[in-house]
Amino acid sequence: MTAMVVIEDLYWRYPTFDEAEEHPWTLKGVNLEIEKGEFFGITGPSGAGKTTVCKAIMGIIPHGLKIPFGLYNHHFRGRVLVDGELVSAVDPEGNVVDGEARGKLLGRGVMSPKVGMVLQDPETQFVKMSLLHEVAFGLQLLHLPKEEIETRVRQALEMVGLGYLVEDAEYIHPNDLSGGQKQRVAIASLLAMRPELLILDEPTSDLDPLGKREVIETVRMLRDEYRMTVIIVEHDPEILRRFCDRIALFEDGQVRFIDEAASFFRRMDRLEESGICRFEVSEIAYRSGISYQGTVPITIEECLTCFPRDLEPSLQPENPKPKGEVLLEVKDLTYTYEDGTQALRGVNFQLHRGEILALLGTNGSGKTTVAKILNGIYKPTSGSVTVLGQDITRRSVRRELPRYVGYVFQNPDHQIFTRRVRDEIAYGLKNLGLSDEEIAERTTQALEAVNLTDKADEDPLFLGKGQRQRVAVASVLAMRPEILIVDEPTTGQDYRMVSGIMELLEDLHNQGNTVLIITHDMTLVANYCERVVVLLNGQDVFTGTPRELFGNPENLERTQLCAPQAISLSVAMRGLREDFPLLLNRSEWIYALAARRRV
Amino acid sequence: MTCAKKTFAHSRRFVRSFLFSVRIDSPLARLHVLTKLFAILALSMVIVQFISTEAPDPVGTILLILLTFLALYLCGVLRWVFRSYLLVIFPALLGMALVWVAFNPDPRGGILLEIPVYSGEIELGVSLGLGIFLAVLIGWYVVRKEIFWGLVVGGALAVVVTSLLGNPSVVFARVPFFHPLSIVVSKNNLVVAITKALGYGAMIFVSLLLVMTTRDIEFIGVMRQARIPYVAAFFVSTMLRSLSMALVDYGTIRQAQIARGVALKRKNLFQVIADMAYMAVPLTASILRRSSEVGDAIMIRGFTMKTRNPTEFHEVRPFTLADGVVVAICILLLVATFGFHLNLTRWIGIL
Repeated sequence: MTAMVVIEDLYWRYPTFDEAEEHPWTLKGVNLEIEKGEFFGITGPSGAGKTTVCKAIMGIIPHGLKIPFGLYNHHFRGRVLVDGELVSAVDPEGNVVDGEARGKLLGRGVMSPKVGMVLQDPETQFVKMSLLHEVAFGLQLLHLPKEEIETRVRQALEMVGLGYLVEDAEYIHPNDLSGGQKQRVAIASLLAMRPELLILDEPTSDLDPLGKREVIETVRMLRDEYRMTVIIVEHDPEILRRFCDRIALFEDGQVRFIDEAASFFRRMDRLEESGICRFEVSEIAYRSGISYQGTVPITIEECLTCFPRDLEPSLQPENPKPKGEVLLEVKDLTYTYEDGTQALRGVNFQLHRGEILALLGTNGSGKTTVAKILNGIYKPTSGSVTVLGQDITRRSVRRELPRYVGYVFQNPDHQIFTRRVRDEIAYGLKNLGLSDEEIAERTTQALEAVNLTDKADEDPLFLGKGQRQRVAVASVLAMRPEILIVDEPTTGQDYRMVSGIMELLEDLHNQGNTVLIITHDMTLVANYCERVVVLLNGQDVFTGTPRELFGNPENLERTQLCAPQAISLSVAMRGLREDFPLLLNRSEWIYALAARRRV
Repeated sequence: MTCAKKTFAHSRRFVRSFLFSVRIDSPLARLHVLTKLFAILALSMVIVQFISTEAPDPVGTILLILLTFLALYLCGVLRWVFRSYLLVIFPALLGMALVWVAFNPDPRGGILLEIPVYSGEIELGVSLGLGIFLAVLIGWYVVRKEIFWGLVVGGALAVVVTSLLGNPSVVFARVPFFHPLSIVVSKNNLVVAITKALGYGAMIFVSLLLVMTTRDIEFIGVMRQARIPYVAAFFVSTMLRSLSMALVDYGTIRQAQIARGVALKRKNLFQVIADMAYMAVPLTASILRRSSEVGDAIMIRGFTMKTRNPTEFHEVRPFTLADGVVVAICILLLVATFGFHLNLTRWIGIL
């Protein structure tokens, strides 16, 4: 096999406005070789340099950046080659100014269409105002004939599961699509160009579980068909194991280790140390002292051979019953946008005081629309919604809703209005008309709740995404709403950040807060939520506990969702022993296995 | 793990235009941009003629404004968009009509009402009415933190009290300035004022029709037909898209602001402006981040400053029979208006 990508001792630091104060190195001597036709995974905590290395392979770094005074020697060292061609290198002796060698940039730079890259946030990479032209843009630049463009656009959209949009593609604005659809369009736009090397930077963070697999499955199929090389940056261990040949762990701007996908996730100590998401079954086995061929199992099939089958049925915990009063009741709710799009076609559910409820559903099923109705942003088209016994179809009630229903938006950057964390939290409180003393007290408490007291005087825009998300939660929390709605709080975040945010929400729940969480992360639902409501095409199709949802294949089929690994293992075990307890998550498994050992 | 194949129902009646959206099958959405531009220029010229002071044509102007509303309706303009524009435009036009009446005394056609409003001298002094007005305005602001209702209540109270008790005043000095003014409502200046207000309204709505029914891709098509270098056309396209994205961001950020209780209580104008100013932080952050990412995305697709003439793909729109018909009607209207001095009001004998 020949190498598609070669990176030799790559160092890179981002330029600053003021060259007197340089950033530290983002990449610190990266060495990497990726074979032609390989499906290569990159994982690692946030800030490890994963996206930066992808942009270096693409040639955007350093060719697409303005380096102040041409001081390449200060910013770039090493070499990047793609398919034997030099993408980037710096001749350290070149570009001599006033006797000082500043470094001369060498290499081809961006090698489109041979190399393509799907960026993390699909919304920011769209350049056209129609779906048709978005996918066709790269093909137009390649001067392909019109008929060929037509065919490739259709094929690309079908490949990513958006074939049903082809007829309307000319009239669809990419921003009118749901988060998952946007990610598919971003991938289709690159696939249409048929690159030899495709780089996917967290391409499925907004997708529902089924969509995630469909999209990556498509990419793998293309890899097999066209001998394409694929590099994927991803946090999800299932995606990495299932699709990648090898995986590299990036940390602190360096490659810590590279391993075959089959063995990468068995290095538990190393992964834990770096805060990398592990398989649930590996975690259960690791904590319970179960081994598979001298290591931890990573698949359900492996677990079936090494996990005990004699767990007592009584070890299955009781399903929690809704306990508190009904705070919110939704009946036959419909909503139609002014352009005629029917987002909700009849939604029904209740939310009880003190519970943590998950609102689930595939991309575009209407979850965010429901949240915006509950917060008073949209007025229901028909049906009834009562919050704390008040009918929110009345305008006067809707106007007052932000006092009782707090809504944390998906993107924290859309809800940061001030340049100081403390002011940001106080912003909503001022709108409530509270006294200065009350505002100061609540701000301090909210900062403590989200563990950001030491950041109180910092600019929220310069915090990391996880911290910005915490600021957003704290800002709404400080308003002390009866109900807290959190929309996709963990999207695009690494394992440590996800754990941090979920622990925060669990703490809030334990303090008696009522939480409604919108998410695509099924493991999170199994670990933290008491009940779930699933929407599909604007209608509720399931209401029950996570155990009832994930433990019944028929429910999964109906809701188009996929079960997390821990309960999937329980279901598989039931196939071997009918009365095997239906254990929902990691904690329940570890507890049950410990109980068995005690017996 | 079993996952079923997804099925979706999809129907699309609207498409995003430069501003807001337009019904896909509306008549104006099918016209070529140049036809629309020509029609707007022609109609604007006709309107200028209709609102002339010498021979105003209120009937023709009303007919044109009704036709514009019909076109907006057929385009499927969203009700809230129309209401928003009306909210801004109506007071502006009303103000314009009143100013015209006040500053253009024209006794022709018979004077209906004459009210002297300014003596030609500025009086420096105090009066009972002024005192009441200022006291109510300041008091209202101190207690309620509102200006608008303070102005209304103060003004009303001053009028009521001075009409009942008279308006005793002390004048310290008189400074001659400008000339005496009277509001002279004559039949002629009333007709001219109304015609002008309606005419300018028609011009605004006709221009809105262009931006509401035209998509960015049509602009690109026209620029390509005009053989403008692709790099320039692409720059314009990206700029339009950025504007469109900023509008989307604005909507989301405004919703986030409402979720944080910004609309919980009534606010005066200054507070509303302050709330708008707060939006600058997330809006600017979004625009800056997006502009840097868009640069990367463009490079990845292979666009460079040397890019020349990419394949034309559903951008250039051919001229159709409908374009010909619209152009012909506009030319006829121009000829009738400027060549034959078309004046519907006179023609049907109202004035």
